[in-house]
Amino acid sequence: MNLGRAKSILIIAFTGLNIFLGYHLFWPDFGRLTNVAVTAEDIQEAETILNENNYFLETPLDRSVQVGDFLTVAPAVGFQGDILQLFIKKGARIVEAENATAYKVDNKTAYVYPGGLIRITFEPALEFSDDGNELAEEQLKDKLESFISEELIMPEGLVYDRMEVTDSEMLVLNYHRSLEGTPIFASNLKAYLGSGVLDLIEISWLDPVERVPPREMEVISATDALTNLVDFLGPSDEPLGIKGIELGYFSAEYEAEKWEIPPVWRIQLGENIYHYVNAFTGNIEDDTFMPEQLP
Amino acid sequence: MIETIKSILLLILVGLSLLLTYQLWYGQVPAQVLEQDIYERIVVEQPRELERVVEPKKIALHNEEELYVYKKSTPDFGEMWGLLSIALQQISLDALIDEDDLPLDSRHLLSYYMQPKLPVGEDQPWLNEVLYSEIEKVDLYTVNDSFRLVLSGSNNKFSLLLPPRKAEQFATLLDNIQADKKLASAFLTEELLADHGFSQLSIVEPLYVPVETVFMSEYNIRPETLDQDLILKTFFVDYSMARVIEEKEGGLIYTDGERGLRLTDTGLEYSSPRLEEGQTTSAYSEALVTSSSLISYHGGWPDSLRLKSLELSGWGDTTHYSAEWQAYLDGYPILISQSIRALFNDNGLIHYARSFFEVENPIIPENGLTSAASWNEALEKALSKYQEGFPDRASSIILKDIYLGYAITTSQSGYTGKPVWVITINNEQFILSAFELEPLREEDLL
Repeated sequence: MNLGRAKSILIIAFTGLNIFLGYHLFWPDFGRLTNVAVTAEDIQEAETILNENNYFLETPLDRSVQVGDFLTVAPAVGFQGDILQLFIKKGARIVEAENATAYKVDNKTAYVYPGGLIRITFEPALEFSDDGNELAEEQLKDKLESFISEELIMPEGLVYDRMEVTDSEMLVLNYHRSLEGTPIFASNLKAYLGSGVLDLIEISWLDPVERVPPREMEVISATDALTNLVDFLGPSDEPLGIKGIELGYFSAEYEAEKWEIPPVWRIQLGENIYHYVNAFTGNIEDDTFMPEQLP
Repeated sequence: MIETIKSILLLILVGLSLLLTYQLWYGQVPAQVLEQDIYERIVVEQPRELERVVEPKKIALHNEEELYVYKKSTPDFGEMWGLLSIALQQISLDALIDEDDLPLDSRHLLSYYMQPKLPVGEDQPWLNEVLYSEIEKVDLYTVNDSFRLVLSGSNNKFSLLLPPRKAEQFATLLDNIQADKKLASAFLTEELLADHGFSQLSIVEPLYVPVETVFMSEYNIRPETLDQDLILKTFFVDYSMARVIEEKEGGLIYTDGERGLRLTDTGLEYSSPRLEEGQTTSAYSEALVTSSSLISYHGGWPDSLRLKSLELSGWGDTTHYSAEWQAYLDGYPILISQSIRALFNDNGLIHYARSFFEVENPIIPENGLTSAASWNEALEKALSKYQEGFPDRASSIILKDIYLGYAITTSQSGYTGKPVWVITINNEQFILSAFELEPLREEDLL
């Protein structure tokens, strides 16, 4: 046998061996090599489950493989202090308030709570209309943002989220903090408007302390998050559209020094219902229970 | 030229095969697979077998005219219970006797108050040849030269004749009980209460009070030290999913969104409320074993701790077992607002709280140990406090409990085990310092 033939046999043998090794290495995660976490079959399966339970997917899904990490946050004490300084500079006086420190100047009162929440009330309420005509969402948003930057302090990383209508017919403009493009849903600002007037601004602002890189992991897919939510909620009484699904950070509010918050899939059902699915565990994060009976 | 290409191709293929083999052997597992395979082997305390889960709340020794009470962590308590437990495990059905009434010349030797109840009968370690029942009290009598056990449950009562060898072991034990460790007590009756001027009080439970002077001392104590990392692993299968919340008061909360574990300087508390909506199908004795597993797994079962109660409770279709443990020091219960307890059902552990203190050393005053106030002085004080607080509840006053114990108090220097009288009148509990009979301030108690 000449050397050339031996080489050919070896080439065939090693090609076979490499195919075998490659199959064992990559086949179970072949989808991941192409950076796709959700296949067309996954979406079809998820849709079947959703439809059987009276939920209907009305938004495109992010099909790429995504990683997430825990984010350590703390109440934005600095921002809270800046707001108070602003009020004090304007000649605010301290007024009595339950569980909060309150500073009043002109028609504005700022209530500062130990957990970091700031509530700014307006009495009388602030005119927020165009000569008596109601403003459209975009106009309300622009007017509110100019008011915050001129009269208050614009929180860092403020991003507009959505407008919703409460049961008592109030309009609520929702903002949240964004960190390098990722929303921190737990850090938010809400403005409550009555008929053409601004009644209240609630700011629950959090400072990102650090990301926890050693704990960076691949998050569950959007389809898994949806099926977990449906499993948790059970069938819907009436057809309900899934209007949005977005990756961000969220946790319940704690009166704590600092805490870690997980990546979540925020799922919008209908117009105003939002649920948060932990993007690592798949658990529903809407109302986290904390043990607190120990001294 | 072809040969050169073949050689290069072969080299590449050989290199690639080496690389793939290395990757297959040592390579990084994709993140999602890692999540599923992260179960970590941990070493925890071995759970106790059922034989060691149940212990009596108290044992009364009747000796001629005198009466002595033994509780967990007093000398001879373990031997007394151990002997009975083994006897009940070894006695056969032949020992059952039909006579319900004891002869007049019988002498009462021991009373074992079983709390939680002792499961006997089929599939149980004790008396596995009789029909299943739950025993609340076991009395030992001597009748002529024989020893007889009378076992009482809520609906049944039966007697057993001890085999001669077992009877002999009991006789030897009773002879060898350490005389100097005995503390004379009295069985509290309404007549005895009336003799001491408490005729307005009635009794529903068997109560014993010391009739000799009791010398006690305060103790320096400290919270047990738990391996927090291990504790975390016992509650979260994959604790990399748990996130941390640092409380302002210094506590740490770990949660994965479904369950929460709070660690403080004085203990831990775990909750998984979504498991509450569940059924409980396990039998009482299985639940006893489960309770043992839970405490052993989550921190361990210290020797001075006794299972105090195991109850099935709930509402509608939602039921759970509730287990609670009691710590003892020198035979006296240690009072703490958040004792060790576990709530569980078929879904798993719903709630677990653990606050356990270890004894460092007694604080003995220069002039020696101090004597505790007598039971009647303590009761008088508690009764006056009760009447001050509830002047309109003069009738139907029930003395539900009275005992000496240790209350854990906090001060700047640390934690102290303080001797106290604990008296429950109707449903009001009074905790009085055992020496001065001063009510302990709520804020000082842990």
